[in-house]
Amino acid sequence: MPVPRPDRMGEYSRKGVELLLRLVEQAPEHRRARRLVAGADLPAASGPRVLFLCPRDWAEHVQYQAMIGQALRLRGADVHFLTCGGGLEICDRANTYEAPPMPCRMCRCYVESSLRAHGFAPRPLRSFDGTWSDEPWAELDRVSVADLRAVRAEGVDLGAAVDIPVQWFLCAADLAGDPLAGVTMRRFLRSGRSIARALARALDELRPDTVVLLSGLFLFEAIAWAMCEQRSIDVVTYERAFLKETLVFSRDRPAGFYDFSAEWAHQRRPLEPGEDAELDTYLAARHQGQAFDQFWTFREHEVERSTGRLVTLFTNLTWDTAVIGRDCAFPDIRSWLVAVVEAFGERPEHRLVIRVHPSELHLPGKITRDSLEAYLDERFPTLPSNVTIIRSADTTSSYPLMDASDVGLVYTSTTGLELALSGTPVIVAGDTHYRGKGFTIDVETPEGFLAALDAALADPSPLRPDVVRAREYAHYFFFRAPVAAPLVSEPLPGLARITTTSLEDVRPGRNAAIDRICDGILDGAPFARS
Amino acid sequence: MSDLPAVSVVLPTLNEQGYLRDCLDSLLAQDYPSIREIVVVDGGSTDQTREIAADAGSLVRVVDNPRVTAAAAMNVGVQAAACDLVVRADAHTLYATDYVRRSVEALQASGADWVGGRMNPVGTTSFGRAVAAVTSSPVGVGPGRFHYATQAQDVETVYLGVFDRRIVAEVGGYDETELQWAAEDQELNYRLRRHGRRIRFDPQIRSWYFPRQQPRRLWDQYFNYGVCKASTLKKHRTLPYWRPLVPAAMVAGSAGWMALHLLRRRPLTAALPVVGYAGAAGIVAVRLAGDPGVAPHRAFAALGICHWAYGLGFWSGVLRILRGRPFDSRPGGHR
Repeated sequence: MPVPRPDRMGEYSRKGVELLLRLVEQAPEHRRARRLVAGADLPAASGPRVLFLCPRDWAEHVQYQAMIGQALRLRGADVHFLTCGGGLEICDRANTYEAPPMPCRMCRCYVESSLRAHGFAPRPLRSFDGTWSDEPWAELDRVSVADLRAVRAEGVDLGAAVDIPVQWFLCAADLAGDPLAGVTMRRFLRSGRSIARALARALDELRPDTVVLLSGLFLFEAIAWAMCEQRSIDVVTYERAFLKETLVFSRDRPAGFYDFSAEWAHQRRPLEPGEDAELDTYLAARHQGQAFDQFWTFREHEVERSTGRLVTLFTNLTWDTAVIGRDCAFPDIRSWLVAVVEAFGERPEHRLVIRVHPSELHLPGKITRDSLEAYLDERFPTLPSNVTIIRSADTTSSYPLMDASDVGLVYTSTTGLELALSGTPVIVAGDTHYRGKGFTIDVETPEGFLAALDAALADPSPLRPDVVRAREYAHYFFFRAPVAAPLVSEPLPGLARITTTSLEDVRPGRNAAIDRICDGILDGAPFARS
Repeated sequence: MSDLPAVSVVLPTLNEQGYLRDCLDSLLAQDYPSIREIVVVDGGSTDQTREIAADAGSLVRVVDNPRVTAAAAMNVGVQAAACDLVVRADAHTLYATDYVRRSVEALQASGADWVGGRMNPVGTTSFGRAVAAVTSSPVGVGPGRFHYATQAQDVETVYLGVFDRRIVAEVGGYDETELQWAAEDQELNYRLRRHGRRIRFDPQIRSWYFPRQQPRRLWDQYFNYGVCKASTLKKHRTLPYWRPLVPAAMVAGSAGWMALHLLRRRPLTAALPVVGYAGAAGIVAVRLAGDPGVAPHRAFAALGICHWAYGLGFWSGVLRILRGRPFDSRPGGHR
């Protein structure tokens, strides 16, 4: 059992109290939402019909969607909310350390009470399907795990839609040897079929002009995405961005991929002095661990230098959406790791340091079940003498190591962008968001990877990244593409606060970020700042 | 590799639709090239078990088990097997790809007569994870070292295993009549050891077993295990090992203590065994909850169910012996 940290007892108490308040619909955001609506003059709906899919009690997302819904309503949109309604066998609200059974009662209670507090009338998906979650699906038991990914139902490629949610739920990507894979995948498929069936009826009845989804990659959302595509319904997705309390929006592709390639092609421009300073301040904060929840201490790794180059490799979490399906030079991240270690076995004059992602172990409640660290230990009982692993349990900061490196190797990790920003050549093996932006060495094949590695080891100088270009992209990625969260803050992970006392603050022209979001959803205007 | 002998896998089934496909897939994915057949011995399933087995390919053969029970299934399967070397399988289990190879290698290398590996329980629900933690602990399940041992060693009994079917014939096969159902494997291993055969555990033989995931089912299972012990006691006038009687002694001791003190109108003193047990189980449960995903309160419940159901089951079996009533060789109270 994880031992409660004494320094966080205040946080635990606060969360506990708020969870109880949620059950009686008296959480601070409930009260604030009711107050907002009580004093508001809401126009009759005359504009496009916008449907939000809000199935889980992730408080900040419920409040983001509700506040965007309020802003759209004030712009004349006809806003509807679909919730889950509870009772599914499984979903990605929790993970394999917590469920099943799912915490449906608490989840549904918060979502529906919050939306009602905002003056909306949420429609549970389960109300659209009389057989919700009850109908057996015996044929699934005849399908092997390998073939479950190809299962179709209700006109949707359900197997593909549940692929990422299953990996996320299991905190594992390598399902071939996972005893939980079959039982979990079948549960997700059964739940997915119920969702698809209900969504089909809901979409046919509500006939939305635009559907707004979180991420586009999770269980409900991936299915909704596929069904909207079939019906040619406009879809907008959003996801939390890297800066605290900012969001990225995307039309026509899941925001969870953070892929701004199309926008970047015509948004690239030199940074203004203020933007340069803004970026430097943010990067310094990341460097000092102040830009995100930190769980490591700051001291320098003692890296044994040799006469050759020092190359650092930064792994990802295998089940992160940043990795799943993002393979290009190698079949998967494991093959890449093996190729790198073997390559250094043949190049003993150079030194490789593999920094295993600390989140394999330290992500609260989500210990990775197919750890790359364990894979390396099994695959290489004896590592080449010039290869060092910094294990996930080691909470030493990676930044001094990055600073000391001659060359960086990443699959899709954002550390690759940070390496490039510091002028270190980076060889990128996966399809990450900053690939192909002109400041990384992007490889397409294993042979191409080895050729790039040899070139970098021979002399990294000519391969140094175009730091100016990297900074332009980084500024766009961290600052201009995201939008400030719509008057919702997150004082602690899992808690949400509405930061305004009047809906007047979300009327057109009162808040630039909300105008951008609403114009993007209603008129197809770009979400990013130019 | 070509020197490795051919084996038949024998897999008893009865309404295993939810588990069989994955189980067969894991058996079909074995890296051992000399698996001659997988004999699915079906006791009259009414779900899709037979269809799933029939769909699984030419290596899988379905054989009827008219006497329904697992003991009968093993006798039927061992008889029907094409090879002398038999791998005993279970439908609620998934097998590592090297399971059969390592089993045969360990059998040959150790010179033992029966070799099995570790039973790694897998929880698929919140309660199931607690059950898995409890049943991986010596405190939870008693002396079956296949639950938790980490070193290869000779043992009293193993989970599943590989063996030469001729040794089973030597001791008269699995007992289909005298024992409570589910007692057959341990009892057979006991008879084998009495005949001088060696049972060997090797932790490198890996499989994953899905235990009961609901409290009621866990209770029924452990109550039946207690009855099984009584049936073995009746048959052999002794037990293969005595440590399983600890829960039985706990039940008897607690009941005696409570009755004595309630008669003396000392209710607080009467509650001492329960309070003492709860305290000890609470400490164990908190330790078991060190495994990710195991909640201490669920581990506490699973621990209590395993101990008390087992103890009560044993005394229920003893009562049955005293009354001269037979044991149930089939689940559901049917002989």
